[in-house]
Order: sequence, then C-alpha cells, then structure tokens
Amino acid sequence: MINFYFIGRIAFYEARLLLRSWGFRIFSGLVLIILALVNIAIVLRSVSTPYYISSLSGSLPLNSLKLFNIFQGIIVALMATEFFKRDRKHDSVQVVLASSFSNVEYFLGKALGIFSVFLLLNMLVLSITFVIHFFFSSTIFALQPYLLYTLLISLPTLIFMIGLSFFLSSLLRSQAVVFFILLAYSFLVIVFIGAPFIGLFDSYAFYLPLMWSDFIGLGNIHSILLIRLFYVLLGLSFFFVSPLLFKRLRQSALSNTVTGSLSMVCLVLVVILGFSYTNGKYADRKYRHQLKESSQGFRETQSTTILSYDIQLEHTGKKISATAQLDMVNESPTALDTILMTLNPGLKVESVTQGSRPLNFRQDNHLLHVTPTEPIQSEDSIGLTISYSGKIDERYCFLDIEKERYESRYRLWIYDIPKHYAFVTSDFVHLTPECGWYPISGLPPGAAYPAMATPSYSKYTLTVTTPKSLTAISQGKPETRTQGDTIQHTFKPEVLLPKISLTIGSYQVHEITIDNLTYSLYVRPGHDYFTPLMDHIQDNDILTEQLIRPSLDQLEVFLGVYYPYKRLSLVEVPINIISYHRLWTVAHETVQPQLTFIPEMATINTYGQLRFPLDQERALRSRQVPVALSGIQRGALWRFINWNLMGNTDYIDPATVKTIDRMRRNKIGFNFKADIETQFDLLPNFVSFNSQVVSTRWPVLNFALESYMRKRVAAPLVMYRQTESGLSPEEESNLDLKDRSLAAMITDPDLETAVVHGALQAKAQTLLALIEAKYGEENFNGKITSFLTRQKHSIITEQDLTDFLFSLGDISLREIVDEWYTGSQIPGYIMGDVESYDVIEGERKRTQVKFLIANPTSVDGITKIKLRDRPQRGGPPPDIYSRALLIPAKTTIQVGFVTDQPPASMTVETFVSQNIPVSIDMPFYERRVLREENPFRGEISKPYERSDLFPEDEIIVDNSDPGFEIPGMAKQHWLSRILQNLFNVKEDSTVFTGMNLLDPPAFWTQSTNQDFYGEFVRSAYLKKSGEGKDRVVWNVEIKETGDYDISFYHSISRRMRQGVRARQQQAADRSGGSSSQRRGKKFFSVSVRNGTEEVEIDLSETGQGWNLIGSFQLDAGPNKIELSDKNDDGYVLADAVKWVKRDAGKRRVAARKHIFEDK
Amino acid sequence: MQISIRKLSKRYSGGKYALREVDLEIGSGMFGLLGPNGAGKTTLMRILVTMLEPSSGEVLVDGHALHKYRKQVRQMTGYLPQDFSIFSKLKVWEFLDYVASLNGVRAKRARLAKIDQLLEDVGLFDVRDRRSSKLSGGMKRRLGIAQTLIGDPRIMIVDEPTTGLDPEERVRFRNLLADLSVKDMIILLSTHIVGDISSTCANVALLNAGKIVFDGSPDELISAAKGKVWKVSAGVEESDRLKEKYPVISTVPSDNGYELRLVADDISVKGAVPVDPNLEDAYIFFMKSLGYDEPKGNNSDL
Repeated sequence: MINFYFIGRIAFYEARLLLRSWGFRIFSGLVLIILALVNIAIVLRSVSTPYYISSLSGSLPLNSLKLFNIFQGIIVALMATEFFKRDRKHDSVQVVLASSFSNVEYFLGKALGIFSVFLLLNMLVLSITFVIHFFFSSTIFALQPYLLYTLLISLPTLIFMIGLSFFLSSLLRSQAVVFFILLAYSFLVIVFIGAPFIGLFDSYAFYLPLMWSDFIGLGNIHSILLIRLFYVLLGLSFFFVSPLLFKRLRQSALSNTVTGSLSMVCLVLVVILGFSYTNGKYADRKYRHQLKESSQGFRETQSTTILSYDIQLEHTGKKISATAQLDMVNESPTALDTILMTLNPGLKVESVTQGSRPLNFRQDNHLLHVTPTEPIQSEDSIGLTISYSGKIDERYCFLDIEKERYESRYRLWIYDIPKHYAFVTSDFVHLTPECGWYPISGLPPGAAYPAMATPSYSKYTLTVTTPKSLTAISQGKPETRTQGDTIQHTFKPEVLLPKISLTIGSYQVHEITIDNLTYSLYVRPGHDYFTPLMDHIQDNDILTEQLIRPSLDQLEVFLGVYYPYKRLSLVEVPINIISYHRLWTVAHETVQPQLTFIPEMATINTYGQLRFPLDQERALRSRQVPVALSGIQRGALWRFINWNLMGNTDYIDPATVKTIDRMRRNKIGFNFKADIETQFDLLPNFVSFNSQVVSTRWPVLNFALESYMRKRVAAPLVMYRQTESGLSPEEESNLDLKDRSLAAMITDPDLETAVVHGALQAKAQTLLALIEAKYGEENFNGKITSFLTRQKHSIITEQDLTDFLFSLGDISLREIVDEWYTGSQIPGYIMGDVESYDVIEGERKRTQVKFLIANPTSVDGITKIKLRDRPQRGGPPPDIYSRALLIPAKTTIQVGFVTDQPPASMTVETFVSQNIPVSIDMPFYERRVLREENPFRGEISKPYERSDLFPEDEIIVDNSDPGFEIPGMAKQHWLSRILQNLFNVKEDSTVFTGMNLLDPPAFWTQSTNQDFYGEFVRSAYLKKSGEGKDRVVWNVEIKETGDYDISFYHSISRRMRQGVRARQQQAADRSGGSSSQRRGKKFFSVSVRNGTEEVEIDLSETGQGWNLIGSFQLDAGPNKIELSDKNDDGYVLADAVKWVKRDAGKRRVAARKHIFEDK
Repeated sequence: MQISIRKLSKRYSGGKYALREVDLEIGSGMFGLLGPNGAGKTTLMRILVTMLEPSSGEVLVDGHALHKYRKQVRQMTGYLPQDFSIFSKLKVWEFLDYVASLNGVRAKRARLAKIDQLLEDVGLFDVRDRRSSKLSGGMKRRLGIAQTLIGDPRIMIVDEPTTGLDPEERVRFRNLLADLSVKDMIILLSTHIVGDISSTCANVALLNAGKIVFDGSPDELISAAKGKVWKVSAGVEESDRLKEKYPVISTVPSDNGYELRLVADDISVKGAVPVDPNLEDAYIFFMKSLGYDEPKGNNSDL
C-alpha cells in the first residue's frame, strides 16, 4: 500500500531543497529574465518585431512555453541528476533512506517535488507572459491557449524528462555522463530529429502544430493528444522502472511488482499510441494515394456539363446535410451511360433522383457514378437531385499536391500552425470548392491532367440553414429569413460562376455600397484591431472611395477588364486555412469569386499589422514635424490593399524583395521561386473566374494566359529580381528547362512542383513575349482584352484560341505553342559591339544605340530590349524605349535605335534561355563624342557565323571552358567524400554561389554576374586573396609560333564597384592617401618560349573588359597562363583570357566592319 | 528486544569478505562493537539498518527475519551513520522535521514539540533556525543523535559517533549516550575508540577482520586479560628493547628513564609488576593475541 503521507513529505522537502539550490535559482532566474525580455521585445513597438510573431491570441503563450520548455528540459535533467548525485554522496540521505518507506514512495516523492517546483516555474512564466500580453501588448487575448499549452507542451515534456532522467540516473552511476546524454538528446531533438519522422521524436513539442485560432481552437487535436500522451506515458514508464534499478533494498516485494507492472502497462500503451499516431499519418498518405489512383482510372471518361445548381444545405453541429438539384447537359459527342461526378468522400450520398424517380448510383470514395434511366444523348439535358450528408474529409483536398508540399510544415517563426483546408464545426464552417462540398461533374481539378482543370460556368442558387447566431457568406447577395432558432440565407450570384464557397461563422460586418458595388468586410468579433488604428479616417465612405475604388480602377485599367461582380468581400478565416499554387491557374483557393479570405488577424498579409502609421507618426512627432494623421493612416491602408489585393503596383526595392522571398519561403513552407505575394489578390476575379482555357493538348495554356495578365499588373518587379546571391529564380528555371521540354517537366512525377511551377512561369512569359513580338505588342494587348471580355463566363477552347490568333494575323497557334510546349531546346544569345553615341539628325541631336545580338542555337528565340534612363530616386529606372525582338535560330542581328534622350543603360531580357544572368543590364559608361553620321534604325540580320562576334585569330579561354583549371580542386577531402556518399549527395555542375565581395569565399568559387565575360553564362571564379599559393590556370593550344597579345577580362559590377569604392575610400581616409591607389594588383605567370614570365598588373589602370597583360613570344603547342590569389584588395576574380596573334589585329577590325556594311 | 545475528557474512564483488560468519546476540541496553578501522563494523551496521544485503546468514529481530520485515525494522530503528552530514540547505529544525515525518510522526504540533524537546536534550535549541551547514562538528553529531531518536526507535545504531570530536564534545556525547542506555532499547555503538564504551556498555563484542573475536561483558573482557598486563620501569635503552618486544600500552617518563605499561603473557624482566587490566588493556591484549599490531606505541584516541 502506497503511503501518500510519506510521498507528500518527501516531495515537500525535495521541493524545498530544489528551491534553495543556487544552481536552480540562477538557471531559472535567467530563464525568466530571458523570456520576459523576449516577450517585451515582441510587444515593444520600437523593436520592429515582425507582425506575425504577435498577431494571434496564442502567439505570446506559445512563444513563451515553447522556449521555456527547452530550458525546462535542460534544468530538469540537471536537477534530477544532481539529486541522485547528492543521494550517493551524503550520508544525510542514508538517514533518510534508512527510514521506513518504499523505494516507489521515495521516487514518487522526489518526482513530485521536482514536478511541483517546475509547475510553479511554469506558472511564473505564464504569469509574466500574461501580464505583458494583457496589460502591455495590443495582441488580442484568449485564456484557453495558456491552459492548453501548459497541458500540451510543458507538462508532458516535464514528465517525460523527469522519467528519463530518473531512469538514466538509476542506470548509470556518473551524473556527468547522464547529464551529457540528456543534453545531447535535447539538442538532437530540437535541431535534427524533432521535425522529420512525422514529429514522432519531437518530445519537446517544438515542431508540433499548436497555434491557437480564435475561430476553431487547435483544430484537430486528436493527433496532438496522441503524441503528447505518448510522451507522458513513456516518461511514466521510465519513471516506474527506475525504483527497480535503485540501489536500496526494497521494502516490499509487492510495490516492486506493482511498479514493474505499471511500467510495462505504460510501455504497452506507449507502443499502442505510437503506432496509432504513425499509422494515422501513414494511413492518411495511403488514403490520398488511393483517391488519386481511383481518379486515374477515369481519366478519359466523359461527363456532363452542369448548367445550374440549386443547393439546399443545412448546418447542424459538426455535420452538413444537403440536397443539390443539378441541371446538366451532355456536351460530349457520345451518349453517356453513366454520369461521373465527384463529391467529398466524407459526405455520404443518400439518394439520387431524376425527377421523382430514384436512380441507381455507386459512391466509390470521392467518385459518384450515377446511372440515368436511359443513356444521355449528346446535347441532351438531364436534371438530377442528389441528397447527401456527413462530415468533410480533409484528406480529399489538394489531391494533386505532392506529398512534400502537402506535408510541409506551415510555420511562422517558431509557431507551427495546423494546416486545414475546410471546417465544419458547430460554430464555424468553411467550405471552398477544393473540399468538394457539392457535387461537380467529372474528376477533381488536376486529377486527369496535372496541369488542367475543366470548370463549368454554372448558375448557382444556395440556401443555407444555420443557427441564428451565425452569419453565412457566399457568392451573391444573401436574402435571410429567420425560422425559430435557425436562419436561412439564400444566395443567388448574378452571373455564371465556375465555383462557389460557403463560410458560416460569428462575424461582425462592415459594409458599404458605392457605384452599385458592395464592399464588405467580415471580421470575427473582437478581431477588429484596425478601427482604433484608423481613428483619423472617420468617414468610411471616403475611405472606400479614396482607397479601394481607385486601386480597383487602376487594376481594371492595367488589365483592361472590368470587375465583373456587384460584391467584393474580405472574409477573415482561421489562420489554419492554407492553399497551394496549382499548375493550371495563378488563382489560390484563398480567393473565390467576389470573396478573398484573409487569414486570422491578417497575420501573413504584407503590411497586415497596419501599425506602421502609428510608428511613422511617432517618428515624425519626435522630429517635431507636423503630421496629418489621416494621411498616414490612409497610406497604411493603401499599402495593405495594394500589396495584398491588387498585385504589386508599388515599387519594391531589391532588398525588400529578397527579404520577402526569404520570409515567404520560411514562413509558409512554400518554396516558390518567382512569386511575390499572390495569394490574396483580386486578379482571378478578372481572369480565372471569368473564363478559362481548357486544352488537353496544351494543358498549361491557361496558366500562361493568366500569368500574362498578371504581368500586366506586376511587371516592374522582374528586373529587380536579379540578385547577388547565386541564381535568380528565373535562372534556376532556365537551368531546369535546359534539354527538357515543358511537357516533359509537367508529366515528370519526380519533379518538385515548385520547379515545374517556376519553369511554367518562365515559359509563360516567353510565350506571351513571342506572341506579342509576332503580332505587335499594342495590337495583341488590346485584342486579347476584348477577346477575354467576349469569352466571359465560359471556357476557352483550343478552337477559340486558334480562331482568335488567326484573326490577328495569319499565324498558326499550333505552330507556336507546339514548339513552346514540347521543344526541349532553349535558345542562347551572345551580345557584342554595344555602343551608344550622339548623332545629328537634321537639326536635332539624338542618340544612336547599336549592338549585335546572335542566337547560335538551333531554336528561335525572343528577347526584350529596353533602353533605360537613370534610376529615379526611390523607383526603378524608367524605360525610354522597349521592344520585343525575335532572333531566329542561327542568326546574327545588328540592331539600331535612335532616341531623343540619351539612355543610361540597355537591358536585354532573354526569357527562357541559356543565358545567365537571364537579364543583361549594360550601362553605357562613357559617352562617345558627337559624330556626324546617318543614324541607323531597325535590324539587319544574317546567318550566324562565329566570326561575326569572335574573330578567327582570337583564342579565348573562359572559366567554364575545358582549358580552365584550378590545380588541387579535384582533390576532395576524405571526410567530405564519405559524407557525400553517406547522404547520397549528387554533384551538380551548374551550381553558382552568391558573390559577396565583403566576405569572399576561401576557395575558388564560381559566381555569375552580367559584367563577367561569357558567351551564354557570364561567370568568373572568386576567391579571398591569399599568399599567392592558390592559382588558376588557363591552358591553350597555340597553333602558330609567333608574337601574341595576351589580355585578361577585367570586370567589376556596379554594385561591386560601389562597395569596393566605399571601402577604398575608408582605407584612403585612414591612410591619408589617394583611394585610386587601392584597387589592387593581379599577378600572372605567362609560359613563354624560354620559360615563364611574371607579370604584375596594376588594377587601378584597367577598365571594364579586355585588358592587355602584354605581348609574348609563344611556341606552337600547349601554353598556359596562371593567376595567383595574391592581391591586397581582399579578393581575386578569375574570368577569361584572350590570345591574339600580333599583326592580325588590323585584319580583324576590318573584317568586323564588313559584316553588315555590305547589306 | 533482541537482535540475533547468525552466521552473517558479507562478501563484496571483489571477493573480499567484510564479515565472515558473524554470530552475535544483542539484547537491550547499550552494546559496544569494538574493532579497528576496516574490521567490518560499518558493514555490519549497514546490514542491520537494511541498507545492505548480507551474502549469507541471517539477522533476526525479536525472532523475525530482517530481510522479510524491512519495513518494520526500519520503523523501529534510528541510525546515525559514520561521517554524518546533513542537507546543507535545511535548517536544523527542518531537517529534524523531515526525518520525523519520515518516521511517521504525522501530527504537526506533536512533531514540532518533539523536535524542540530533542533539541533541548542535545543542547541545540538555540541553533534550531541555523542552516545545518553552519553547525560545528560536535553540533552536527548531536543533531545526528537527535535525528536517530526522533521516531522513538527501539533500536538505535550509532556508527563511529565520536571520531573527530574534541575531548569535551566527546565526553558530552558519551554522557548523552549513557543517559539513553537506561531506556528499554538496544543501542548498538560501533567504535574503534575503547573509551566510548568503557563506561556505559553492558556488553561488548570485538570485531577483527570480519570476525567476532570476543563477545561478552566488559568485565569478562577485562578478566581475560588478567595477569597479562605489566608495569615496568626501564632505562632508555631497555625501554626501546621492550617496545620492540611487547605491545606497549603507555610510556610515562620517570626519574630513571620510563615507566612502561605493556601486555605480555609472561615477562622475565626485573621490576616487572603485574597490574589489574582495564578495558583498554584488555582490548590491546586481544588485538595482540590476534596478531593485530597496531597498538604498539601510543594510541592517541584511547
């Protein structure tokens, strides 16, 4: 019999001893201080903490307990092992141990003592967090997260760590060893094994999706409970086995039997829980796979087109029941024996009737096969009534999304958010078409072809019955009717729609109507954080008129299409709702016709906090600048609207783009390459929901069209995505597309969707640029708009598109798109002789820009040439002139422009090409003297010959040529070899690293930059300068003995120059010398006839481009030139070397002049 | 109250015997367990307080096998281990409170009253609120006695309690034990210092190298040594010779050299006078007869 009195007393004194231990006091004191500081930093406005860290009611307690939990684990380990150490050392414990209690009682007492102290510490942490949260922060407050997180995060870990510590301490004698093991274990969990393996090893709950939502709480808590209980029981199992290992003679055989049995029982439960946790996760995978497989069997099955829906839906508790009346037509050329439909597999079909006659049907997971009374002939109609009810099975959603993305964590900072796609709870319902809450014809989108959906534009009527306290939101203006405790909403969208959604919840509505368009904002009560921040904009009408309407107008102008609906609503939904990029549309599930779903508290929206005006105001006030608060607040709202709803019309500086990119990737777990925020914008309302291209031949055509439309809105971003950190997303896509067709990529199941998506976007831009170039930009722009308007509320077939293009000019769509879709080669361009000089034309001084561009590949190419002015303050450089330029395969073109205003630079966008960088920006550094000459306008083309750009007597060895060599590079460290083999790392020959001149790499590393030399790939090797021991070698085979001029390509990008110049200036300031002396030197060794000659080049005397090393007498045969890493400027660049036989120079210049002058 | 120890052996994992077939009967009153360091006293004590399991043999407490009735024996036993130290973070009274509650004194008021009483008895009442780490060696030992008594034990096992104490504290401690010995309880006092037990123990056992070499009353021990203790006056050279030959108990300088007190079965030295042995003499005699030669020369602890 267990004596609880003893346990209590032991616990009491053990706790007292622990509380008086200095180790514990110092450690826990530090932890409390750190946590308090972290919390203060989060809520303090002067520290610019990202909004998502404190936006949700659960964030502060989650943050505190997650961090505390790690500390707690470590302190518990330390304290528990310390106790055992003390037990061995002091005879005072012998006195205690000689007393009459059982080992179990002793262990229970000790554990309880430690547990209670840590419980107290938990309470302290929570109290500190509570005080900061409740009294000093603007974060909304909810009590439940405090309680839940303690129960789900802190206590299970505490019990587990106490159990584990006791067990190890009983097993091993050395306290140091035990502590080390526990510390290493904790580190392993937090850093390595916690996140993968479906979170089974996450004993610290560091990666468990636990973010609280005020809408739905934790969502599906079942698996969380399983895994946390798993750790509690594992801890108990360890704990109960410890007294058996304890070196004190047992007092009662019974208690040993009991604890042994308890340990075993716990262990058995642990196994059961672990199994059901993992099995549950794997069963979900298997089930999704099964759904996908069953769809595949019906890929080619024709189905009906649904013309109208009349859905009566009742929401009761966690279930929905509905009756859907569908009017359908068989638009396929053959008669249909069976109608194939799709419905969420959690919803059970109760009956299907045609008129009043019940029909045979079979529901196989999500597929519903209905057998009509007689086959439906082509063009015949049929009316069906389908009754169904049940719960939504979320596993059905996003079946086309690959496992990695589907199972990726949704993480904001250290908060993991449970992912959800649909909800039916007693007080919140969120049903988007993705969850299949109403029957659709055929297969789910993306099921038959990975990049195609076949929507039908239907007339919808939706009647929803729900408890009176709740508001239903769907497409169209609701008509409501109260019936007892329930309320009935009827929605009748004015136009045909491809889909509808339904959200039911407790909402506070802000609504105004201007110009026949109703703007609504649905917010959860208590979540209106923005009204107090907008207190200086009092008139909502003005707000809407001045902010939303103009933005929408602007969007309409950019797109050339009017907003097609009478309603525009923003609806706040739980933070858990997540959507994925698809291959057939730019539209996200977060945007539905007329509705955009904003995640709880606008947490992941750019500028979502709207707090910016207050900060700005404070800053201005501190500088005593008179501020118009209404203006500042309006600015904040405008920013929110434009960034989130209107695509990006704002100018973004490169740094922000990079930050946002990084943020988005980490935050959402998405890894999309080319998109800035596109989850919430209204674009799909204008395009995707209006008409959609459906083509089985080129399934991705719809995406291409949509992304073309998007580019009309978000064009200015493209050139600013050129980064210094390795490759830009476009360049990565180009590498992916090299030697591989888009069709092959889309159907390759092994490719990550992100890669395909990137390639698709790049190809889409190319296609539209190609079409623009063929038809003329303005011509095409205008006509495509009117074409889209004509095709409103219907699908666009291949035939429609062919007809449309044919009407523009006699060019076949098939010809263009086939090559675009199935061609596996991509073009590449070489630029040369770029010059800009002033000319006099008539009375006026103008500027002539002339250059050669060649496409030596066997596929036609398209480029966009832009002449640009100097960058404006705070904005991108404006275009002076821009045009698409087609460059057929194996062709060299000389291009000439004449401009009124001298351009500062020229940019060549190469779209999908082998060129890296993908966008070549060439500044006109020096202005040539005025020349009297007839200006040249237009293009002259000729078949490509290498000598057009590279004279025959010139030998160039670039750093990506076989002649270039880094001695010692092939030698790989044995450890790296082993690791590489162990982790099966494949070497990628096309990896470029970012170029960071302030911290150059210690080894020769290949980087790309537009100022470097290269035919398609402009690259150079970069290394931190050294002692001169590390060298690179350019090897060349000289054919003829003679005198040669050897030059090296010197390059330094503008940004590099700026950074370096600043550094040189600093150095010069320090030394009092001239900064121009500090550009460093290059040390070459040239192999000559009688040995080697050392040459020192002073870089202050070199310019961008080829610079002479010297003239040398060389023998025919192998020759080489070496560059050492010696330099006093911090880094060394190794690019290209050129050999030109002397006295051949004159011939060469003459030959080049002749290329086009004959024509 | 009777403790019967039958053929008790303890062999450690290294193969070394700490106890070898020990037989002892311990009745009420104070029982002295005397033996040199390493004789096995602490091992025996630890077996008796159920901290250690014997390799063979058995211990009966009032006829009940110790290994079957650990709970009961622990309840009735108070134990003061050798080198007793205390949780340094607890105050004097807290420590006693902890031990008292573990000994089943549940009523808080009674417990506190008892603590105060005991602290009075051992002269620690004035320092009841002092942290244990701040006590002197003697105070700690007295606190140790207090903690053994707190549960009203019927068996008290005290292991080497006076080691390291100054003479004044040692006397005080012996008196404390003497007061207790009149109670109806077993006090098992293990020591290597003969003085600790000479005045108070009704029975004494001598343990050497894990074996009991004597078991009886102090008087029997003394009488066994009768005629074996001699007093000899000797010059410097003679005394050196004697010291080499016989175990010498004491050496006192005299006018002609030294006056030696030594142990010998027979002695053919001029001027050697047999004297009545005391307990110390008897202990030395026994140890000598077993070939244990430590007592040659002076034993400062005596």
